[in-house]
Amino acid sequence: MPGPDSKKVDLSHNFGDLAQAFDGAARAAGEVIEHSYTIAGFCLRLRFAGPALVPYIVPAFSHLPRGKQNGPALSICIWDSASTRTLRPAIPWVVRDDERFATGRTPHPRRFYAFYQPAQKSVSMLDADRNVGLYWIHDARTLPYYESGAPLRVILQWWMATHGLQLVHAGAVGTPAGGVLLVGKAGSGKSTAALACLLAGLSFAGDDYVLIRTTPSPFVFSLYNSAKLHKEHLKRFLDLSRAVWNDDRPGDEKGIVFIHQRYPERTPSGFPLRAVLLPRILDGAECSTQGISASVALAAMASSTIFQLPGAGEGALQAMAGLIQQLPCFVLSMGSDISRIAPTVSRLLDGVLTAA
Amino acid sequence: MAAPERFRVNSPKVIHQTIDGEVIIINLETGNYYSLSKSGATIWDAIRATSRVEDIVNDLALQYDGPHEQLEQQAVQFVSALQAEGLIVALNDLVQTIERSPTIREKPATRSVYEPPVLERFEDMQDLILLDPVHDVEEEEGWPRART
Repeated sequence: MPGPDSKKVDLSHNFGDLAQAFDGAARAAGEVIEHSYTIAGFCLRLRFAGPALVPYIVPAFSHLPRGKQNGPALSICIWDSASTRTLRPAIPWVVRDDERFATGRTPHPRRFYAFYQPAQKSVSMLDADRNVGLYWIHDARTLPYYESGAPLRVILQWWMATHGLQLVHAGAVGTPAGGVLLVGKAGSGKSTAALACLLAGLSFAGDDYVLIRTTPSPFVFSLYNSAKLHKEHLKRFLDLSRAVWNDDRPGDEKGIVFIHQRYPERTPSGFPLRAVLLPRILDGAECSTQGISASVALAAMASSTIFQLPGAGEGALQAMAGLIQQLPCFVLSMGSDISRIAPTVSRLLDGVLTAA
Repeated sequence: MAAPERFRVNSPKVIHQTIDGEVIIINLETGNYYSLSKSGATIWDAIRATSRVEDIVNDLALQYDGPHEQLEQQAVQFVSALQAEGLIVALNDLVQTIERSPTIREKPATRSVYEPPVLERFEDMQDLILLDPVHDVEEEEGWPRART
């Protein structure tokens, strides 16, 4: 923890230095490559200094509609030092080589946000007033596979929270009339449930991180079209196992599949939410649902979200409680027969929609 | 030194939400999270109103049937458990003199059967915190210096 000799934070100064480093990298690369998307009605502009990071970042967003030029927009400047042959930017507050630091979770108004990951040699920053984000990594080739599955999520989380939307650790599948949010910690079966439903024809809004809105009614917006599952488990989804993006990488990495490339018609930008499901893997083959209390669902969703997202705190907890209060919650008990998952989820959705 | 009489939630390290009468509490420092219901939730609400232990016992007595001695003894134990988990902290002497906030829970028409408060603790997120923690840095505190 900070001691008496701690440096005072001057994130405006740091942000300025980092923005200048991006300008230098763009000049060195000789080009700025732009991609823009619409998320939850907002325009997201990605500005790359050179091409090195494009194939690692863009595929996850490729299902989203192109960004509109008018209205609120977030621009994120993205670069690496290795490909642009520029120096590592001066980051005076990068002080330890073994621990991650982020601006705190206190819910007071904040203009600047920062997150430093020494293992990745990467920095994320946001100037919320100017709607500009910065993402730097030392070498694009060292970006971990899971960052390609859910890129820039920390910056997106900060910015979306200032616009009334909450990024959550959850998956979502459904139809245009309504879908379910799949919550729970890693390994609980969110991806298995989401992929089983996708292959049975349901729409896929994500299997790991999605964006939720609580008012005027519960709604989920898709951020990423990626699915992430242990390669052994992916073999159960034969069609997807042939499309693993990182198949040439070490076996202990989970496999990433970009669903839009395989099923472009099943990756919508979002849908209304009708229920919250907490997947659970059980022995046997059966699949069933059972009602649970809102507090059990909130505990599962909030704990995995808050401890995975730097800066997520009281505001995130309130947003998740606001969502869960409006929706029925169930445990989805899944046995080994994954063909039973989608019919079970569809039956539950039909019931919830009929009751509504 | 006399035992502190009043407590507050240990925010911002601790965040909490009440949903359908049950309380979810998250300790951002340890990675532990907790669930309270019934008499435990009543005690939590009373602490949020910066109550003395005697106020907490009165709140319990308003809502539950049970011997006063038992309510008091178990309320004291429960407050100690919350304090030991770092979920609440004692207010300082100056604040001890302030009046309590209005009672959050309204007096029910009928009282429920008393069950001792239970602090249900979940530790399954601890690994995430312990193995690869993200240190929160507040702007007023500054960034820590490198270890030398």
